[in-house]
This record gives sequence, structure tokens and C-alpha cells, in this order.
Amino acid sequence: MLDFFAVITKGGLVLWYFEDAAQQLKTSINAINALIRNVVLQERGGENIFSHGSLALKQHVDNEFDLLFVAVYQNILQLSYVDKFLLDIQREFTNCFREQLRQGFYNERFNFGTEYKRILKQAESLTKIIKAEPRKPRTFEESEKSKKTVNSMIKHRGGEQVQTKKPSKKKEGKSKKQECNNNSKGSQAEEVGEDEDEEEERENEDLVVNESAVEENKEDDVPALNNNDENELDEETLRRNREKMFVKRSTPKAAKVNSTKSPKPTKVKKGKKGTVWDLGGKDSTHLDYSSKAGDSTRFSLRPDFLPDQSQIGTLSGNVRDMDMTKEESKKKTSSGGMFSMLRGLVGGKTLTEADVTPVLDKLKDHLIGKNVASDIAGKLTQSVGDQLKGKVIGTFEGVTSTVRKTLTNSLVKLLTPGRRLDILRDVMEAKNSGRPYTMAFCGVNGVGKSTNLAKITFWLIENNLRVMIAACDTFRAGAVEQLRTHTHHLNALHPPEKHHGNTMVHLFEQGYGKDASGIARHAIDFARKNNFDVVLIDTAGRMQNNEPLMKALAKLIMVNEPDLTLFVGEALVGNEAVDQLVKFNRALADHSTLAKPQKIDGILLSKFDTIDDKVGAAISMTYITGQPIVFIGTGQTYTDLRRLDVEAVVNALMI
Amino acid sequence: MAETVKEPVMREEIKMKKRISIKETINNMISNLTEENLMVIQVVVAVFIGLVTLVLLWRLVRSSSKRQGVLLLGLCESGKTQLFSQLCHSTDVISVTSIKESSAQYTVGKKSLTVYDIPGHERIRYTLFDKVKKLARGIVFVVDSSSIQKDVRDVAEFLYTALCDGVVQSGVRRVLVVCNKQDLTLARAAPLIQKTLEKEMNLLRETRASQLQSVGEGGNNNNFLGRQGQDFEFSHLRPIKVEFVEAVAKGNDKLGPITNWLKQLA
Repeated sequence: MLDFFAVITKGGLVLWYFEDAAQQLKTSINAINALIRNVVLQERGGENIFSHGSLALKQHVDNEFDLLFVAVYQNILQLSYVDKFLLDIQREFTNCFREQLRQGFYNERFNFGTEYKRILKQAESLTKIIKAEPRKPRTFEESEKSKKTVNSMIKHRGGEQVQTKKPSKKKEGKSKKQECNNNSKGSQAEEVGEDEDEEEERENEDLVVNESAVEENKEDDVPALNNNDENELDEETLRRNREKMFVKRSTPKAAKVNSTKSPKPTKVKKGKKGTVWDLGGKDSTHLDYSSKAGDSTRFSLRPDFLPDQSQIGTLSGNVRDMDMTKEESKKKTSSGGMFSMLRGLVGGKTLTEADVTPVLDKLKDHLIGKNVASDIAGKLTQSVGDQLKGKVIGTFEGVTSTVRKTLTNSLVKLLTPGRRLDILRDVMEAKNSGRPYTMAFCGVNGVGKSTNLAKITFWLIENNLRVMIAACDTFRAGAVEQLRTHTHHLNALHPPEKHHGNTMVHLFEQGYGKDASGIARHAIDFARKNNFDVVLIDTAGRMQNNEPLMKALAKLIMVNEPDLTLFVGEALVGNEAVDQLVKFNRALADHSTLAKPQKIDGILLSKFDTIDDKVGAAISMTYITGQPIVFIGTGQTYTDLRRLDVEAVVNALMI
Repeated sequence: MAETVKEPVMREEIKMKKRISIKETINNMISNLTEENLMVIQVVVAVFIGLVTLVLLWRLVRSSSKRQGVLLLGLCESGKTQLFSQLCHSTDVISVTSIKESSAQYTVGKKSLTVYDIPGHERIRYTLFDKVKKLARGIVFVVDSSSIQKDVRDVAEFLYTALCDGVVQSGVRRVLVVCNKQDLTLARAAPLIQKTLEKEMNLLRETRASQLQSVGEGGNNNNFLGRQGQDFEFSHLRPIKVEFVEAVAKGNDKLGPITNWLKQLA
């Protein structure tokens, strides 16, 4: 059922492949290329299945010999054995061809067909057996009910205690309580015994707390259980139900008066009472709350204020400097490096998960400390761990340094743009086709869209391009005036006399309250007719969970199809960046009627001068969207616009 | 009288003492030498020999890392891995997008060159290129002739970055641009590709010079290629010699120009 299977080196050579049907090779190679471009190179190791058209692909990387095992099958079949199958094939293949792989002889014929067929048959027969078994019902331990506490299952209705537990469950409840007792005793003993590890103590405490809470619940309910007998309960409910039926029968159309419901408060219609205002009827003398001249000399002390005589005289003179405790620099790594060097002298070491996990956890905390969003730091470290599983490190390398190097490489790969970033060249291209180059700015409130728009305008007019600004922020008071002020300033810096009589910057606005996408469309038409080179569209800031505003933004983007949709995000943002970008992208994709909706094409990272080296927001944003950081804003004057330097940012992150 | 008699006696005594003291000191020195200073001298000699060895080793290492490499650069799917395996292993391979660089030896006569195949994917090409550029004596830039009109901006950007890199400008003297996939129907000829690239690089050097400053401390790596005031031509890049050839990477027959160029390079 697998259409295609291939063993590929990381250098790009296909060592061995198996095609189930004829002419699968070309389509499969295309699919594999797409898989590599999207998954392997974008550090998204988590998602397992990649779908390309009608094909689904699953891959497994062998880090020891730098091989990639890819299985291709039809998307509609949901094969469950592929993961284990990949691992089995990996084991077989590396065992059969170990020598050739180690020496790098990739050009020999690899005869793997028979083993492949054997393993495939094994895997398929195993799934058939699993499928043929009738699904056994869950045991009590597996069910959700056993995990609930007894207290949560008691339904209180109008003050009566209705219990639905059977006596068998009562017994199991008791046995569970005994287990809990034992566990808590055991954990308490552990707690007393181990004083060194704080984490374990805390964990044990939590366990004790939880189990004691469960214990308490069970203790509360056990007397209740003991009191009520099962048969009585059923009779009581039966009786009540019979009552209800009689009531229903006797009064067919009467209002369903429930004796248990409290009587509704009847509306007593009184005469019309005059409204009493808070400050009504009072004049200015009553409203004067200032303290009178006579009272100002004597001020009332707070009743709880006790004067502390010892403080007097301590702050005389200059205010003392802040106590700067130097952070402990990470000099520990050097000593660790020494020991790992000595350990590494023994020989080439294969990395296992146990070796790598403590280092990865420390690095994850370090990244979170540098303002990377926490789940992204987790995903990054997980993908680094996957890359290192089974890898052989050289004699003089330590585990820590290898992990750090791999993480640095991953970060560099993440931040490096995946496409050519040359705005000026693209503007020239658009000019040759006779249309203006449009750039739209979107983001939440207060991130710096208008300021950075002005900076980009300055850069463009410095390069002799005529810019039109479309004021599509029709909501915020002063937005249009702000852009008008910028326009005046920029035109003063580059007056028309210097540029053959052309105004370099023009503001297209239609006041407040109008539809933003209409204004943008008119602006682009105006720019085309009057030979403007670039149109910059400024939109209103909006929260990512504001549904109508997100719809309006999606409509603007869909109607006007800008060449570059820039998401402006501030560098100070932390975990919030993930939420903002995910919701913005989703809104742009969902509310668009096109087959291939236009999503965020680039990121502008603003307020970069406010963070010293906590540059993690750059990582979070590029990870979520996969799009490059096009500009960086580093201040509020026109020249504070920069390009991303990947090496510098990664160095700042990893220090 | 007694004083004058005493004086010459004293002077003689003083002279004798001096002589004795000099002799004594020399004797003392020799005796000292034989006991403690011998260790010091041993240590000094050992350190001197060690330093000499280190200097010789360093000279040797430096000379062995002389540029012996040829880099295969190009966009994704332009045929670098296919060309690589044809040149070095003389076989056709089925290949997919590379993720890692590969290297092999190419022997021509008595000399041998190391050929490095750098993956073309945008995210990893520059880091891998930076790793091996100092070992490069020549660069082979592979271009897909059938899709050049679509990809000309990307090709030009990569070629420009490779050519204006400082290490390349100082060490590399020959660049070969291979117009691959000539067996496809839409393939353009080499002179046309050369003209297209020259026009594109002409525009590119203006936009690259006007790029924004980068946020880190590193300076812009955007040297101005060619001559100011004149349209860009590859012949302006002296002393780097850029040549254009046509080739088909599949099959062993059309690789003549490339092998000739490699022979000249070695």
C-alpha cells in the first residue's frame, strides 16, 4: 500500500528506492523535494505527516549516517504502521550496509529489495491482526470515571443528596483510598529522606497535596455512602417521578408549577417616582471639596501611622547608587568543557536522549530568559534533540558544545530569509510593469505602524522613488493628521525642486469613518495614474481576537492584493507574539475567498532599541510565520531603520 | 713611614683580593652551574626546541591549507548534485534537494582538486558557503538554462553575493558559469544568459548599494562590482575571469568544457 519508499543521503543522492506502481518516480521525487523544503529545512520536526497534493509523506532521519528515510502513500489511506515501519527499515538498512555507509561509498548498488518486502509484509500482517481483533471495552481503570473523585459525581438537586454509586464501586473506592494512603505515606517517607533535590521535594509535596485532597474528598463521602442505602434511593426517586406524572396528568394545560422552584417576585406597580440624581439639587458650595483655608494648617494623620524615629537622617546627602550585583557569568561551562573533553578522549561517543536532555532543558530556559515564547523554545529544543539522537560526536567535542552548535545552526537557519529580500529591485520590477508597488502594514494597537511607515518612506525617497501614503486608519483620532505631518516633513527634506518638480510624498486620505479597503483601492488607482512608484497602506491597529476588525483587514488585503503584507510587531512582546501572529494569519486565510489566500509576507520588528539582548521575539515571529524579518525599527527618527543581521542576533541570543 | 709602607701592602692585598674575588666568582659560577642551573638550562633548551617545532608545524599547516577546492554553487534544482556525481564518480544519480554539503576528490593527471557541492536552498546556502569559501580556488556556478527568464533575479543575487565576498575576491581567480539542462527545449544559449545576467547585475549593484544598514555591528558586504559609470560587464571583474559554457549534466558526453576548465585550474 506504500506507493514509494526511498533511502536518501543528506547530500541529495537516492541510495535505494522502491516503487509500487509504474511511473511513480517523478511524482514522488517532486513530493520529496517539497517535503524537504518545507519540513526538514524549516525545523518543524513535530508534525509527522506532510501532505503534497494527494500524497502523504512520512520521514525519519538517521543522524548517525546522515540518511533520510521517506515513505510516500496515498493521503486517503490512513496507514498506522508507517512510523514503526520506518524504524524497522532504518535498522535493517544500517545493519546491512554499515561498512559502505561509514566509508561513504554511495555509488554502489544497494540490494535491499528482498528485506524491504519482508519487513513490509510483516508490518502489514501485524496491522491486519490488530484490526481483526474486536475492540475490547475499556477496563475500569482505563475509563474516565475511575479518575474522577467521588465528590464531583454527586448531584445535588434541591438539597437532597442523590447518589448513583453502586456498592461494587464503593468497594473499589475504598481500595483506592487505601492505595492513596499508602502512596502518600510512601511519598512522605521519601520526602523526609531526600533533602538534596529541591525539585523532587516539590514534586512530592504536590503529590502529597493532591492525594491528601483526594483523600479528604473520599473521607467526606465515605460516611455519606455508608449512610444511604441503595434501595431507599431508588424508591425515593421512583416516588418523586410518580408524583410528577400525576401532576402532569391532572393539569394538562396548567402552567408547570414546580413545587421546588421558588415563587417569582411579583412586580408591584407603584406610582411614578421622581428620579434622584447623585449630585442633583446641590449647588457649587456643596460640590466644593477643597479643604478650607483654616483647616489647611492642621492635617490629619492616618490613624495607623506610627512615626519611625530611626529613619530620620539616613537619607541625608546624595541618593545612593543602586546595588549592582553582577550576574554570575556562565563560567561553569568551561569547567564542564574540560571534563567532557577528558571524557571524550575515550573515543567517539554516540549521543542518547539521556545525555542530551539536561543540556536541552538548560538551553530552553536560557532561550525563554531571552524572551523567546515558551512553547516555541520547547519545539526548537525538541527538534534539536531529534537531530542529535544517535549522532556520533568526535573525540574532542563535549556534549554541551555539540548541542549548542546544533541549536545555533538551527537558529541561523530559522532567521535566514527563505527568499530574496530586495525591496528596491522589486519596486523597479513593478515600475517596469507599469503599476505601483504596494505595501500594507498591519498589527495590533500601538506597535509603531505609522512611525515605521514614515521611516520606510524616507528610505524610499532617498532612493529617488515617489511614494504615496494611503491613510486607511479611519478610526483612530489623529491618525490622518499624523500622516499629514510626516508628509510635510518628508517633503521639506526632499523638496520638489531637487527632484525635477515632482512631489516625492503624497498623502491620500478621505477623512475618518470610511471603508478602509475602498480608500486603499482608490489610492492605488490614483498612484498608477500619477506615476507614483510605491503605495504604503497604513491600517488601524486591531486586537487579534476582534472578529469584525480582522474581517475588515482580510477584506482590505484580499481586495487590494498588496505585493508585501508586513506584520508590525514590537520586539518587547513575549508569548503574546505567538497568539497575535497565529490569529492574524488565520484571519487572513479564513476570510479570503481566493484559492490561495495571501497571508503575512514579512515582519517588521519595531522598538528594537528598547531591548538589549533579549531578542527572542525575532525567533518567535519567524518560527510562527516562516516569513523573514524585512525591516527592524530602532528608534523614532527617520534614519532609525535597519536590516536584520542574522549572525549578530543569534550571537546575542546564545551568549 | 709606617703608613706609606702599609699602603703599598694594602694595595697589593686589594689587588690580590680582586683577582681572588674574580677567580672566586668564576669558580663559584661554575660550581653553581653544575648543580642548580643545569635544570634551568635544560628547561630553556627544551622550550626553545618546542618553539621551533611549533613554528615549523604552523608553516606546514598553513601551506597544506592552500586553496585546493572548487565550489559548486547555484539555485535549488539547477543540477549541481548531478554534475558533482558525474565529475567525481562518473555516474548518473537520481537526486533530490540536498541538505548537506558533499565533497569528493577530482583527479586530473597528477594533481587533484576537492570539489564541494553546496546545497542551493536559500536558508543554508550562505552558511555552508562561508564554511568552505576560504578553500576555494575556483567557483562553478550552475544555472538552469530553461528557467533563467523566471529566475534571473534570484540567480543574479546569488552570483553577486558570491562574487563580492571578500574572501572570494582575494583568493578566487576563475569562475565558470555552467548553463545546464541544455537538452530541454526551452534552454537558452550561453551568450544570451550572459547578457541577461549582466543587465540584471547592473540593476542589482545600485539596489545593493542603497540597502539599509544592518542591525548588528557587521559592515555591509556590498562592494560595487564592475566600473562606475559604465554598464556592468563580466569582463570588468578583472582579475577574476568569468566564463560561460553550456552543458548537460546527465550523461558523460557534454561535459567537455567543464573538464577542460578544471584541467586549466589544477
